[in-house]
Amino acid sequence: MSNVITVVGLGKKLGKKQVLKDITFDVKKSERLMVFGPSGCGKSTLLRCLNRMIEVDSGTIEVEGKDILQMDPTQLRRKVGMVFQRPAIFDGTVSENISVGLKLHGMDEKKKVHRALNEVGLPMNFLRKQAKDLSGGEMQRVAIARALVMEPSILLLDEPTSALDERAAKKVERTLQHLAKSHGMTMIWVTHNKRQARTQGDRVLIMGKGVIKNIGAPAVVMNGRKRGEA
Amino acid sequence: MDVPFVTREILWGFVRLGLVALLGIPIFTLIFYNHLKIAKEMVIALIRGSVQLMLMTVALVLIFEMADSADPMMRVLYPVTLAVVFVVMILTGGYTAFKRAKDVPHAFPLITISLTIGTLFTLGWLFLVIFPWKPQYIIPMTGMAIGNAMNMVALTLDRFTAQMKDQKDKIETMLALGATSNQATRKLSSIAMETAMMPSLNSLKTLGVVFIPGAMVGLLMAGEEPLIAAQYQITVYFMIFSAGIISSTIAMALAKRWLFTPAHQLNF
Repeated sequence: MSNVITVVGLGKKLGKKQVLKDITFDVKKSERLMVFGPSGCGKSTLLRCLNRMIEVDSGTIEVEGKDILQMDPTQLRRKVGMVFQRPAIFDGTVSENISVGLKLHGMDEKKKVHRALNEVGLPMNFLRKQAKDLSGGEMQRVAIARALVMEPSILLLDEPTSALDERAAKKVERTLQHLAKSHGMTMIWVTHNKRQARTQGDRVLIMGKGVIKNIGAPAVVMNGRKRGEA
Repeated sequence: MDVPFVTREILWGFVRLGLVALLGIPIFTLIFYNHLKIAKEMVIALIRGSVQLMLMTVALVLIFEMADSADPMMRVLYPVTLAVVFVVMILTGGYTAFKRAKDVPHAFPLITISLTIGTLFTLGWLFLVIFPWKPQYIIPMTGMAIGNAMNMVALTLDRFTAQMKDQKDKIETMLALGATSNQATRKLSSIAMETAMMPSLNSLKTLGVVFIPGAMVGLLMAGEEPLIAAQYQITVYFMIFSAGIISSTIAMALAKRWLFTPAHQLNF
């Protein structure tokens, strides 16, 4: 299967701290890659490099075979959607929140908004609700719908459930599982939750102090075995 | 050059000003009564403002003399002096606004450039169509245009950067959805500029009903026809809004160049 993301020798400094060092990995189409590691190990920084929310200092990133530095950053971000840890909710209804991205690009297609809401498992009567009145889990699902409505081919998820209680987190997990199964959506999902890393992805990339410690199938790498070991 | 600085009338004026200053008694009594922590600042501002005004009058007398002089040397010095006055006003305005918008990177040059363009464009047009090219008009109008534009720019930038910090997550979300930095901050820019323009807009609303502004009061006291005074006052409002909105728009556009990278990434 072809790579949709190829990262080679990535390095990034924030201030004087070397946050990422020589990061190399790839992601296949429709794959769910879990990026697992302790707080401050560079997981979120890595994610932000992939859609050029921040610039890398060294190394290259290719999305669908193209160097991201050669791409228009706004087009790149439409292709590589992102969901943050704490969803930013705008004033207005759920419908208005989901269509924020569409309006930016001169589109306001109700059908797409309805479809996105349906994909994240929220009922249609939510469209007219004030987004600020929703629960944390519902807000996060609205944020996922807002990213989905742009029809990205890759979804970056920055600890999307870490601010939620367990019940809400499970619902968001089910939503993401549904997207992966029904649409074959490629996902890179940052988490520091061991259970999630073990159960939600096809592969796990374990990070520590800015470097890749291990990468491979969850059953292999989450049991402490190194890359290449049987 | 005969400079009639101190006449009997001016001396009496200072005596009367001393009597006016007795209003300081209720002002400072009430400042202490209301536990306001501005007494020291008020005293310094009053002294500083008065000294600045007095120095300005010396400069004005000299410039007026130069403008009327037949001496060829003075005729050369006159435009140079006007240019120096303009530069001093712009730099002072830029510095004052910079102190209020310190969070903006490179605020001083940014504000100074925007004030220069905004006021030169506006004053250029007004002096072409309405005001005579006399120092009696050039200096006060320039001061008024720069002073008001300075306040508007400082308020705009201050409000804009405060909102940028406050709503960083929303801006990032917009950028992540493919927005340009302009698109991601359009709403914040509008709110910041509306807020900055509101004080002038409010005074415009009550113009002539509750509020008779300084320029008109001055002209009326100098014995000008009320209708002519009103025309000048309306002109002054156009000047304030034009210089203010042009300067603020340029300041905001320049600020965004420092607050975002060309790849539409946050840079603060």
